[in-house]
Amino acid sequence: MKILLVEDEPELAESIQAYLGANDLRCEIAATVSMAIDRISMHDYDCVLLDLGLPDGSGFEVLATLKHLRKTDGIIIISAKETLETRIEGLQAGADDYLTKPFHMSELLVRIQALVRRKQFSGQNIITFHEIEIDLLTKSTRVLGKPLDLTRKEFDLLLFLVGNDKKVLSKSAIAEHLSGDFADMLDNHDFVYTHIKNLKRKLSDAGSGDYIKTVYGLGYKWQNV
Amino acid sequence: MGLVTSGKMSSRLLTKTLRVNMLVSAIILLLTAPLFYWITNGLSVDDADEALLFAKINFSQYTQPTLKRDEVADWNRFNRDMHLFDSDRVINQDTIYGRFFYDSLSDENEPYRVLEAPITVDGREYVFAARMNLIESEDFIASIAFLFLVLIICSIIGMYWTTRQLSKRLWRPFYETLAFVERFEVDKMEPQPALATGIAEFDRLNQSIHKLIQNNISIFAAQREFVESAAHELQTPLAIIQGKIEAMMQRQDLTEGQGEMLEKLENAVGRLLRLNKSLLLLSKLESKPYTHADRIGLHDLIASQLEFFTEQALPRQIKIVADLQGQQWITANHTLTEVAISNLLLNALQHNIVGGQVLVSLRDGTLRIANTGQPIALPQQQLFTRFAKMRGTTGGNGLGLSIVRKIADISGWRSTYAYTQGMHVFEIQF
Repeated sequence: MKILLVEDEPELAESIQAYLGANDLRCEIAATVSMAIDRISMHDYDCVLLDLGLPDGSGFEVLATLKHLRKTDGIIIISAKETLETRIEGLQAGADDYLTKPFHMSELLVRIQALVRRKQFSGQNIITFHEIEIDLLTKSTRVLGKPLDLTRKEFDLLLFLVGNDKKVLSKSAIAEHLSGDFADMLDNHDFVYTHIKNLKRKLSDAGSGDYIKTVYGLGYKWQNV
Repeated sequence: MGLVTSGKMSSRLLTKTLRVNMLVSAIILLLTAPLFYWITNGLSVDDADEALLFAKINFSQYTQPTLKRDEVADWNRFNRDMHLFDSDRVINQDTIYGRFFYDSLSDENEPYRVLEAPITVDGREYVFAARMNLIESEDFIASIAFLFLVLIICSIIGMYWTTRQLSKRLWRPFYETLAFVERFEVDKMEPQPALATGIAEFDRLNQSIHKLIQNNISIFAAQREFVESAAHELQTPLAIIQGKIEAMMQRQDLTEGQGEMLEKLENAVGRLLRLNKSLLLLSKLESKPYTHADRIGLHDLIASQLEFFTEQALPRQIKIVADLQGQQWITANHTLTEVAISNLLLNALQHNIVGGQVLVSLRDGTLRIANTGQPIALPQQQLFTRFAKMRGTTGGNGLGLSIVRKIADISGWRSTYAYTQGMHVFEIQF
């Protein structure tokens, strides 16, 4: 998959590039509006990650060019400007998602995956990991062909873990992902442990492999046995 | 409250002026009373002396030429206040002196002026004595005292009335200014008192206050801008730090100790980020008006938040008991209402104890959130100010309640705190 990252902060761009690169997402970087417009007129991307505050203009110009060129690239705005207005403005201008800086790389990754899946009309609604099948449309899970009863949070957690395959996920990244709009209100991350424990138990009861690894001192990791 | 205070101030000013005025006039009157007595007394003595001299002239012109020596005894009998005595003493000229005579009618010694003059009746030397009753000095002093008392009372009433009228009329611009200053909050726009009051001193006062307020407002605006841009500029470096920490976490060669350190770093950065976001929100609340209003069902909004907070409460065995009576509709900014309510709920959890309780109730347009916690009432004054952290509590960035207060102010709600029956009770009246 090809991603265009429009971000003027080299350090941040590098971090994103490194994280996504490890998950087979090839990331090209454009640091200015003009560079970004050059790139999008020459290539097609699966997803464009768009910062709004750029040295030579606003990310909205890139957004407008994309729409003007009738490109179907998925667009995620990544901006430090967190107001309801810019969020609404961005989504109305044709962005598919809006992620407020700073964000966890793991969160960005699952957002990209979800966006790309939505954009591909080939019915990529089922994610399979060995004996586990996750149906995104019906939000149901099957292990070895048999349905697995998961709560909404556990389903979200499974999807987040599988999406960040082989990545170490800190408790705070998981907690924030599960909390959604309430992420700013997080007091502690202890509840993550409960959800992980329940999910692990349900998966192993259903006969699945033990893919959730505890990384001591850090968090958890989804890993092939 | 402002009214009560200004009323108290005005009476204090009034009594002060009155007290000084009354003291001065009482002293003046008390000092002038003896002087008045002395002058009036002198006048009456002069008057009596003059009358005595006239009586003598009258006698010597009309009576003396025709009076016979054997008629003197009869003449004496019919005149009570004039007598002719045989001259046993040698009197060369008219003498007037004061003397007391016993008055059998009033059974008192009465003051008299007495004139004695040498006179010749029918060729024989006599002493002509005439006396004139004076006003009794006791009566005289009593009258004067009464007169001056009436004067003092009249002048006090007059002064009280004029001072009150004056303070009402003259000082009105001053009280308007005072009330304005009392109401003044730097982040709220209020109509300022008129600059031209017609009284030079008050004009000066209002102009100085105006200048002071303009200064304050611009300093406040500058400070707000500073906080906003500082918080904004911090976002990018924080994002970089967070990104690098996450990248570091993916390294295979991390030891357990390094991993723990990274987690602590990540948590600290997370706290910084939330603090930064709260600061940005606060300065935004202060800088721009939130005019967008939605119709919000409070019941549903609170219920949806309770789901999240109930989960957050579990690890510390805090029980959240909700008593939401039916749907209540309000018109307010949706995002802000959400932020205010979730900040209150978060506050009730953060400052709670293990195994504690949170009671949430919504009735009659009032949201009441009560929580167990430190068994001491919190100081009302500081509670809603920024970074007012309480001793012995952990977590929280000290901005939650000031955000709640700000949002309540913007939305026209009343936010209160009380410590009752061992619980910290926060209320919002929508």
